Amino acid sequence: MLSGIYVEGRSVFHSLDPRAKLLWVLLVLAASIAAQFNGLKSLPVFVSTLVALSLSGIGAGLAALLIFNASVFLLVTTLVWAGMYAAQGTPLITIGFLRVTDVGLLVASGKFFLIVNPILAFVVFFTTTKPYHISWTLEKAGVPSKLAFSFVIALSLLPGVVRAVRDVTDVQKLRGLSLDKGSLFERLRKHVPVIVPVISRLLSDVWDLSMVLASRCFGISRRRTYVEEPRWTRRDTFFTFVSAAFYLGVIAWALWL
Amino acid sequence: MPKAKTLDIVVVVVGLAIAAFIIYAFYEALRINPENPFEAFVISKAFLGAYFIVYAVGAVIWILGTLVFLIELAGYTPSLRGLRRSGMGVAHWSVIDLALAALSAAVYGALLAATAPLVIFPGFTWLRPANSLAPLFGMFFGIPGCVGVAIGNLIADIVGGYFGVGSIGGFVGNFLIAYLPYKFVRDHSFSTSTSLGEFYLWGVLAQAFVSALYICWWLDFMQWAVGLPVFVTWGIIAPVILSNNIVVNAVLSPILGRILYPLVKGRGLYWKDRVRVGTAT
Amino acid sequence: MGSVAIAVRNLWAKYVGSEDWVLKGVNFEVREGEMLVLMGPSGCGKSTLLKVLAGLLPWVIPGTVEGTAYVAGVDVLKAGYRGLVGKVGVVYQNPEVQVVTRSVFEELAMAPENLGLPKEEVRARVESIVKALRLEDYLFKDPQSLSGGEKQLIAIAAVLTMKPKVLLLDEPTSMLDHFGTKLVLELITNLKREYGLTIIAAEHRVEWAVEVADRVAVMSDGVLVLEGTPSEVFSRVEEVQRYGVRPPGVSEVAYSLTRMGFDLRTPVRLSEMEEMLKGGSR
Repeated sequence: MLSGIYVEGRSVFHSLDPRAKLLWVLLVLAASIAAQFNGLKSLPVFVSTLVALSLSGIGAGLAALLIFNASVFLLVTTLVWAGMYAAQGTPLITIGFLRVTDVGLLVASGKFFLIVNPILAFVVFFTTTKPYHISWTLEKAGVPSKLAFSFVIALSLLPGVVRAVRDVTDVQKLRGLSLDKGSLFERLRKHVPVIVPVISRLLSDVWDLSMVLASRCFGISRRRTYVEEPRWTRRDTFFTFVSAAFYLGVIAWALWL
Repeated sequence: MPKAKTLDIVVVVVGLAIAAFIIYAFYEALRINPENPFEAFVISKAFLGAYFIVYAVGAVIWILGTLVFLIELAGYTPSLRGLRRSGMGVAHWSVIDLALAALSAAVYGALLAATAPLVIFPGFTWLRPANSLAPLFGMFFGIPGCVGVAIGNLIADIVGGYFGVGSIGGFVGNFLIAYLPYKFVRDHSFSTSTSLGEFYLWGVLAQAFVSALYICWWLDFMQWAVGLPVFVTWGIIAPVILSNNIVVNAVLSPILGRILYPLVKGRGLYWKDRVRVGTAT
Repeated sequence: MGSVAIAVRNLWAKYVGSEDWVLKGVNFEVREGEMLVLMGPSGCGKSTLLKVLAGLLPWVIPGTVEGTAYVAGVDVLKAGYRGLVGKVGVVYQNPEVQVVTRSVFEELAMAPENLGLPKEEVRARVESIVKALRLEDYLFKDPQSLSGGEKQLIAIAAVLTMKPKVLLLDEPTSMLDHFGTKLVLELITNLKREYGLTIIAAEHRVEWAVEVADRVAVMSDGVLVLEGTPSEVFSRVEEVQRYGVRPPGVSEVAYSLTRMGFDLRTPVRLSEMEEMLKGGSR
């Protein structure tokens, strides 16, 4: 599932400056941290991430999908948290050894949102921010340009490599490879005919890519121009102001009210 | 038989035995307590039983691991005689190093994202065959390969929709998985007992422990921002990382390494050959 | 034709770790505005020659190079690819790794951006190339979703933003389907005819080469064995075949008829064969 990769679009979030979006992610994280002991107070933050997913054109259904995929892990984690507060508050559910109190439920749900909210916020960030702008943001943050560029090129080449992996897997399956049959050791070893061709292709592509990068003058100048440098607009100011007001309000509510 | 060769064989046997033991122990734990196998799983008990020691060791590993990561990226490498210039810092990267880092990252991330894990306990324990490439990329490509593995793991988190504060620990943790065999394994050919022995020591056992401790210490330290309870971090995640990295690297990496080493050498991409030639850029 | 744009003298080249020389004493010249098509079987040294001329061997790809090679007035063996910025553009055969961004605009702007040129200059160059090559419909597409031929178009456009005087094309159509090949070859033909670029292209498509190339050079086992106009080279059918190159179909037909006893000269183009058949054999 390639859910976190950039998706071309014209949504509200696509038009925002990456700095505004990053600030929004940090506010989501801060509010989730502040409200981690009370799920009711973290619920608005969760709802805001669902709204963001909708506004970004991705759809709130992705949140359901991500949560479903990690449902076992999340269930155990929240039950563990509920169990740690089982001695506090009024019991709501008691089944055998499982005892969930109202305090435990609030803490468990708060922790659940602490895990989920930032993840959803980052999904919105990455799906609505071009790799080009991520590179710009990273360089502004002091990351060496070669490192930032490696990351961005890798992100850009990823869809092609995923296609290649799937093609190799399909071809090998047509030749009789069955990745889901046999003992654990056998199934591990059966990945060799998938991995080796992919790496073999990588070894050719490295030389080609290095020649392309040389031809595109990479590393020749110390300073790189960004033609499509993000420009902070009034929309970004408004968005940041509204986000700050909302999330700082949640933080104040969680910590002091 | 010379002492060194005997030692190598012993290390290989021990590594394979540990891999087999972990699988056996987990299935035993599943049999004893199907609802909560981690309670009966020997490795979970080890981490949780000695929590304070584990936390202290994890802190040391985290500090050292992060320092090593930054030092290597800056173009230096730690040695017994102090810091030496490695010539492989990011500032010195040629277009080949950049291409290696980018493509390693894309391939590692793609294989993690596009190949299904071998599920042992649904939702919790699985083996990821693609992880077998991490030590190989470090050994074959040097620091660009190590950085590629780190970025690839990050990308896998991003495309899987699981990127968060914890991913920072995974970034350096995966760098270390590739770095340890790059730094300490001398013979990367996988065709001699010495090569296999060194790999099992550094590329199977050492990197598994170091990465599990690094990543889980970070998750524990950042619990207030990540939201995972100590039991989940050290009782579930740590054993999963340890098991996966030991089993997958013990079984798959030597096979892949033996096949790929001549291909990498033949293409002129083996880092020791390139550094010796000193490509001008 | 103008002055000499590319001059190669006694060029020898091999890759690191290899005992054998891949290029063995290659000599040739290409004048400004001229198009030279390099032909030969796989492994004959065409790509290696282009890598030397692009300043990549030994500057990016480890190896040994001896002799002299001047491209657009630059001694490439001394200056490497950095000395060829703004003078030489190179396009390779694999379209998958030649587009490394998620928008065509970013792809075209990459080289001038990497040089640190002012934003207005970068924008102007991109707009100029987009207009010249009629790429307006592609401008905000994701290049990763384009076909192989379209990717090669973008790759060629991307090197043209550097305003090179020389274009080196290393088998740009070998990984493309029929439609993609047609797109790319049409573009190269237009670049030659409308912009007067000096072009060296390693290509297998003989019928295209005879129509567009000013000169053709055949390589075999690292040596430049035949050189001349398309007519001069491909009329020597047996020799060309011996060096592993397939001559134009009309040349092969005429040669076969000559061997049967017909008194024919050897055409290299369909139009020449038509003239021959209309007007008599000689």
